[in-house]
This record gives sequence, structure tokens and C-alpha cells, in this order.
Amino acid sequence: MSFLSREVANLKRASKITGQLLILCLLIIVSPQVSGEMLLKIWDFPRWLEPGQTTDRFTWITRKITEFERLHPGVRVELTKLTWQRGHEKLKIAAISGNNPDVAPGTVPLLFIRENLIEPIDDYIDKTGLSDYFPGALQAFRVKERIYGWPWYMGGQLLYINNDIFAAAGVETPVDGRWTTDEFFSAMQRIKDYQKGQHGHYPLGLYFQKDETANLPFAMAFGGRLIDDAGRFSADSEDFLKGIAWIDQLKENKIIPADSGGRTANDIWTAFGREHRLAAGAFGLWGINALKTKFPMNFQVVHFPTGTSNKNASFLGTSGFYVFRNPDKERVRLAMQLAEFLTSGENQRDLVHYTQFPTRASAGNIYADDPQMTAAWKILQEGQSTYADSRWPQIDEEFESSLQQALLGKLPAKKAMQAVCERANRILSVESGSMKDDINQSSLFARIVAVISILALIFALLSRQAHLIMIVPAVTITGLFLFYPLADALILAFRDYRIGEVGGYTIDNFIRAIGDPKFVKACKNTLLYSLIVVPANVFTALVVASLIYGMKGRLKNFFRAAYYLPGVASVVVLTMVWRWIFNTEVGLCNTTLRWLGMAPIGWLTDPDIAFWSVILSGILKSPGGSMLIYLASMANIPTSLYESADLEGAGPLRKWWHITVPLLGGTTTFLMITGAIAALQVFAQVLMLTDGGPGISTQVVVYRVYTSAFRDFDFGLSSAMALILFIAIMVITVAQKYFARQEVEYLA
Amino acid sequence: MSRKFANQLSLLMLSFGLILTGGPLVWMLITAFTSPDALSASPPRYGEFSLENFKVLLNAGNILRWSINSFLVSAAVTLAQTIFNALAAFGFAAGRFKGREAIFMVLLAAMMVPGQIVMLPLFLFMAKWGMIDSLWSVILPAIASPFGVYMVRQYMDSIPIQMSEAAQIDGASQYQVFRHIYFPLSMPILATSGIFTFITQWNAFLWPLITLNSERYYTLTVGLSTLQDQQMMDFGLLMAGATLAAVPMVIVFMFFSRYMLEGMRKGALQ
Repeated sequence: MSFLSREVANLKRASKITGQLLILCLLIIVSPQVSGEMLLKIWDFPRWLEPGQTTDRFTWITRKITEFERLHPGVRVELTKLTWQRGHEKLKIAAISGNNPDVAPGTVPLLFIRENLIEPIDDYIDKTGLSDYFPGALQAFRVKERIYGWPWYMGGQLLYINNDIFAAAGVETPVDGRWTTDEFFSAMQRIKDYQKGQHGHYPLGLYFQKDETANLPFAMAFGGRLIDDAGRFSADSEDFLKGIAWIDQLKENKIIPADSGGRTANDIWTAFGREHRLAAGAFGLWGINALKTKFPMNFQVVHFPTGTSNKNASFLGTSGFYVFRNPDKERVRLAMQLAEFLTSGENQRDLVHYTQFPTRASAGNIYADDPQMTAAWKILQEGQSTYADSRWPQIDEEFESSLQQALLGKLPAKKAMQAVCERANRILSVESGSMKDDINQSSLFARIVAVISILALIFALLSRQAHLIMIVPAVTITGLFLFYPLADALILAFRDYRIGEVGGYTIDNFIRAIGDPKFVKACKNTLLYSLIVVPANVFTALVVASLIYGMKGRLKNFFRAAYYLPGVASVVVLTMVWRWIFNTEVGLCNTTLRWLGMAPIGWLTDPDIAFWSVILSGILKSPGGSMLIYLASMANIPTSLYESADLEGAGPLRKWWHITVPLLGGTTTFLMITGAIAALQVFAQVLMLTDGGPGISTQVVVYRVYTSAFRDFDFGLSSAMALILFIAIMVITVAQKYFARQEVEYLA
Repeated sequence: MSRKFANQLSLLMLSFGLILTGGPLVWMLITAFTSPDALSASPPRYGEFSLENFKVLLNAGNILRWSINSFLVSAAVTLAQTIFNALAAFGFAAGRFKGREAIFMVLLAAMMVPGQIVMLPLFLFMAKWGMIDSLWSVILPAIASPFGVYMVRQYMDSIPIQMSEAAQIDGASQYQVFRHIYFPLSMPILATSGIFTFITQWNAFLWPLITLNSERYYTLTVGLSTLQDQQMMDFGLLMAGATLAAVPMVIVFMFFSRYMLEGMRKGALQ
């Protein structure tokens, strides 16, 4: 008993310290709010690095916010830093759930405008203000005669070439920066010859991914267009397919790497800008700045090669800040002032660091003495506006991944493009409805569950039975946060409930789930993952536990702790490390391979390999918990069994195989099943390692559930897929119960 | 095969396995403590010691704030869960009311529901009540833990009922029986489940990723994943962040390893 009381005293001390820390943190978090102070929330993406900064891309806006606060006493502005990867998604989630900021960045927010969330700027700007803008910039933010944002800058994508490589290969750069596809092709081929023998060097690098239009001009070189005059998505037109075939030809001739379909902008940029392994690459305007300062290079910007059409196909986009609606008019007024302040002519002069073009004449010609930017401006003038439609992100994701698949040779281009066009046009044909209003309703079923819980609660309290009251908190919380949403999920799965379409009850969701190539791939991958990783983990745990069990004293304790330790680190932490190890350019794996004189592998960029990398990271997980359970079970094996085996002269291996392993059978089954339940829910690794790509090669079920809900806002489909997963897990759980019972019978 | 040889062989195998499973974490530490210049040199000079990555990290990100948030969430959930689980477990173990087992079975059924299926409705539900983008949205759903109730109840069932009967004869109320007999006696299992809850919460990722929008409410895992998105190629900085996230859990493990290892064993035997 004295042991126990010492334990209790220790734990009391530990919980006391925890409690004190908790209070301390609360004091820090709940910093007193000065009353009467207006708090404006602004979100922004990372912008340029100011001089002296190495990582913080928010110093400009932070400074401007301080200036604004000084001009408007009593106003405090809070900045939330977004990332380019997930910023749009986060903004959508926030806006749909009513947690939007006051001011947000980006191109015209068509989705939010449709949901009636954005305040037009027309009432907050006068004629002289309007006339200061370039007409194209205002046009980009105009929807049905109203302007929904403050244009800040215009930018676009360009083709960059490394002059040094061109010169060294003896290839002329194009006159006026213009070239036809044939001229481009032969130039690239001569560079290819020059690069012979240099590993990882290519004339050109391409990437096709969500939210990146930089390389589409290559596919559109023969006049292909994304949207035709009739407003139809037309990536399956002859011209477009010709462009894809041309890119294929580039691949066949090894002008671009064979795994180009799986490359990301980051890869290509590293190879072009940092390591000078590519002679050409397409990037946004930001590249001009980067190549002048951080990664100096003798470069120039040129037109994209054009085939039959003589028109430059690069995209021109306008970006700015927009203001969300709010019943508090004063708040909206101040938010407008903030957005206007940030995009004022004077402040637009700072865009010179961002290498983007101002939208207001009063900013002046800030690039007068910059030949590259002047050239870029000329090129972009011929470009086309980015396609603006609120349903574009949905189409974009499908389109880019189909394009990737086609280029990776996984699907014939024509078939892939026809399929994506069909889906895209179906999305485009649906008339929009508002989703936000509907969120405020809750399903009937869920409400019944809620009412029953409340009645039960009242009953428990009225019964005046101490025990009953004591179980109330745990049961209520479980009911509220598990059963209530579960009931809701069942309903959602049978409802047509997605952005732009809030309809009645249907089983369409399940049909769409089964017909969704990504979901099918996700199911296959998840099964593959579970079938390999679970047995591997259990086997490792068994071997490690057996070896540790035979050890003595300190060594035993050391190994037990050392094997368990990595298990306490979060999946997020471990995945970050794996991404670093698997990095194509600088990761440990490829560095080692290069050092050994072998060809590097696209661990996360090659669609045939990427998922195996995910699996590998799953296999090399700490066997921690399972190992401990095995150790505990081993202690229960009667030593007499081993002794009699010794008498018969059995070696350690035979004893292990014929006594230890069979007697641990029950534990093994238990670990396999719990492991399978966990493995079916694999998510964080995929999100952080590959984001489901390249193509759709690393989709897993939970990732698909997540993306269809919070990227595509197709809540019905997402719930249907979650329900399918739920059923699979249920089956396994029931199987576990069945096996467990068998085990008991066996022991008895 | 002599005994000594077998021992050495198993030592060798264990060491090799440790390199594979512990390797990534060691690699994380090496990268984190290598100076950024040495990392970006070609070839990189690993092991050139410097704290530069940590300095940049602490200056650039809100990592301190994220750590505080993670701690707040984990501590609050652990505390609330421990109290509620203990109360409920006591109610189920010592109570003699009608429908006790039925309610318990329903509670157990909740263990089968994977988090992903309730994620979306829960999000909509919380959005309706304006709880998105606050630490409450992470704390509240995590307090429900049928598995915790189950574990603690199993333990409390083994406490002899005579003890509470004796106390009641002396005039103790049910609450006093709980407070002075069952609660202290269940300390070991409460400690184990508490530590696991703390670690699980500290490492939670998907739900906080969905509900937390503002940087000042990020938990460490969400913050780190955004950091990864922002600093795609600055691996020194990322590894420094990963190190800072892993260290508190290692400390927890070192202090409480006995409870954790014991708890795993007990859990396995039940």
C-alpha cells in the first residue's frame, strides 16, 4: 500500500504542475481585449522577401497594417498568414462556416459572390478612383455590373530560358522571343545533345498540377482552348489533343523527363533556378525577381512556342483584396479602407519587389529600367485572361490530374480528356444554389437523437440517483459529439448536398462514389497499404519483442524504451522527416543513391513509386505498442514448455517457431485486427507526403473523404464514402469479436 | 549455436532494427542542428553544429503560441476526460440502477465509430454554434471517450464492493465513496489513460486542421504542416520545428514511461 500512496503523491504533484501550467497558458491566451477597439481580420498569402529577410514573406503587409492602424486609432488589424497550398481551401471552409475574415486576398471570389458573402466596392469608391485603374483590372473583378474587390496587381506565366546553357550549347535564343513549335523543338533537341552524359539535366521541365496554369500554354500551342465560345469546357478538342500529343513527343525525345506528369512546380523550380539543370521552364512572374536576387542567373523571358495559331497562350491574371459582407456597416467601411489602403497607387509601387504589374496608373511605370519586366509586359499583353468561374477549382483538379495521367501514359489522352470534359460540362451546366443557408438546417433524424438525449438527461437528473447523475456527463458528451453527428452523417450520405446543388434524398452519392476513379484508386491503395503494412508491423513487433525478451537487465530496458520512443512522436513529425528523406533533389535516399553512382529515384514524384514510398514509411514505423503487448503475453507462456523442449534438444529458433509463435496466436490476431482498423484510416502521411498525387497514384480513402468534403464541398459524396469506410471497419470489428471468442474457447 | 553467440546475434539484429525505426528521428536531429549554410552547400556538410535553425524558427513562426495551444488543448482534454471517465466508470461499476448494462453497451458501440465519419456533420454542427476556429472546437469533441470509460470501469470492477459498503455504513455519501475510495484506488489506470490521452491530443492532426483557421489558434501539428507548406525546401527549419514538437512527448515518455509500459501491459491482458 505504501507503494501506491507514493504513486498517488507523485501523480498529484504532476497534475498540480499541469494545472498550474494550464492556468498560466490561459492567462497568456486570454489577453485582455480593450473595449471599444475594432478588430479587423485580414488574411494574406506569402508575398516577397524584403531585404534582410530570409523566411518571413509577410513583413510588407505587417508594416502596412501598422501604418493603417496609426492612421485609424481604435482599429486593430489581425493578420492570418495563409499558405499557397492550402490557403484557398482554408478560406472556403471559413467562409462557408461563417468564420470569414473581413478582408481576404485573391482573384475575383466568384464562389463567395454567388453565396452573397462579398460586399461590392462600388459604394466605396468615386469616379476619379475608378478612372485610376487600368480597365482590364477592374473588368477582372466585375460580376453583373458590380465590382467585387480592389485590384492590386496583374501577373501571368512566362517561359524562362537560361541564356548560359543556350550559349554553351550554341543555340540561338529566339528573335523577339518568338518561336514556332518546330523551332522550339529543334532548339531543345540541340540542347539535349549538348547535355548528353550530364545526369538529371534536361532541356525543359514541365509540371501540371492544381492551381498552376504555367505549363498549359504548351498544351494550347496549336490553338486548343479550355473554354470554347459556347462556354463549353473543350479540352477534348482536336487542337488541344494535338498539344498534348506534342508534349508527348517532347517526352519521347527526352526533352522533358519521363516522369514529367508527376513533377511539381517546386521540383522544376529547384532544378531550373537553383541547380541550373534545365535550360527552360515556365513559371509565374515571381521568377524574374528570384532569378535576379536569390538565385542569380543570366536569363530572359520569351513567348511560349506557338504552333498553328500565332497567338501567345499565356494567362494573365488580376489579383486583389476583397471585403466580406457584415451587418456592422462601420466594420465594412473600415475593411474597405484597409483594402483600398493596401492597394493604393503609392503602395503599389512596392510591387517592384514582387515583380508583378500595378493595376493603377498612379503607381507609374515602376519597371521603366527593367528590360525583363518590360519584355514580360509585352508578352503578357497578348495573353488571355485566366478563366474565371466559381466552379473552376473543381474542374481544375479533375483536369490537371487527368492531364497528368495522360502524360504519364496511364490513360490515352483522348479518353482522359473526353472524360474530364464530360464531368466538367456537367458541373458547368448545374445552376447554382446557395449552400450556406442550408447549413443552418439540421436533419430531422439528428434532431430526434438530440431530443432523446436531452430527455434522458432530465430523467437522470430527476431520478436523484447519484450513480445515474455521475454517468450523465460522459454519456451526454458522447451522445452530442458522436451519436448526433453519426445520425447526421447517415442522412447526409443519402442527400444531394454539394456546393451549387442542395437537393433532396437520393442514393446517387453511392453510385458516384463507386464510379469515381479517384475513390476506386483510393480503395485499392488503402487495401494494399493495409495488406502490406499491418502484417509487416506485427511481424517486426513479434521479432523485436522475442529478441528483447531474451535479453537481461539494463540492455533489455534500453531496447524496450528505444523501440517504443519513436512511437510517441506524432505522425506529422515523422512524415515531415520522411518527406525530407524522400526529396527527389536533396533527400537522403537520392543523395545516397547518387553517391553510390546509381540513378536517383522519384520517390514521391514517380507515380509508380510514390505509393510504395508511403508504404515504406508505414513499415518503418516504431513497433512500440505492439511490441509491449507481445512482451506482456510472452511473460504468460509457461516456462515448463521451454524446459521440456530443451530436454528434447530443440534449438532457440525451433523453440521460437514451435512454442512462442503459436502460443502468441491470440495476441497476433488482436494486433492484426486493431492494426488493420488503424491502417484503413491512413491519412496524414498521404496529405503531407504527396497530397494524393502524382496524378491520383497515392489517393487513400480518408484523404478522398477529406478532399471531397473540404476541397470540393461535395458533402453528400464525402459522407457516402465515409459510410463505406465505416462499414468496412465495422465488419473487421465484428470479426475481431468473433475471433476473440474463439480464442477464449481455445484457452478454456 | 552457443548461448553467447545467440545473444550477440540478437544484439546485432536489435541494433540494426533500431537504426531503421529510430533512424528518421536521428536524421531529424542531425538536420535540425546543422547550420543552414552547411545544408545548402553541395555536397551538404551534415553535422556542422549550429542553433541557427531554431533561432530562425522562433523568430519567424508562432511556434511558441502553437505549443501553448497544443498544451492547453491536451491538458484540458486530459483533465476533463479523466474526471468524466472516472465519474462514469464509478457510476457503471458501483451503481445498481436499471438499464445500466444497456447504457454501457450503447456507449461501447460508440467505440466502433471512426472519427472520419462524424467529422463532417460535427464540423457543420460546430459551425452553426460558432465554435469553429476556437480551441473549444478541438477540446469539446475530444472529451468524449467511451474507450476511456471502458478501461477505467474494468479496473474499478476489481475493487471489492465491501469497501464501499463499509463506507456507506459509516454514513458516507456516494460521492464520498467515489472521492475517497474509488478515485484514489484507480489512480494507476487513470494515470495511464491520462498520459495516453495527452499524447493522442498532442499529436492530433486531422480535426484541428479542419476547424482551426487563425494562426493564433493553431495547434503544433497544424502549425507545422503549414510551416511545411510555406517552407517547402528549407528542411533545416522544418526539422527544427519537428524536433520542438517531438521533444515534449519524449519528456513525457521519460517521466511516465513506467505508467505507459505498465498500462500497455494491463490493457493487453484484459
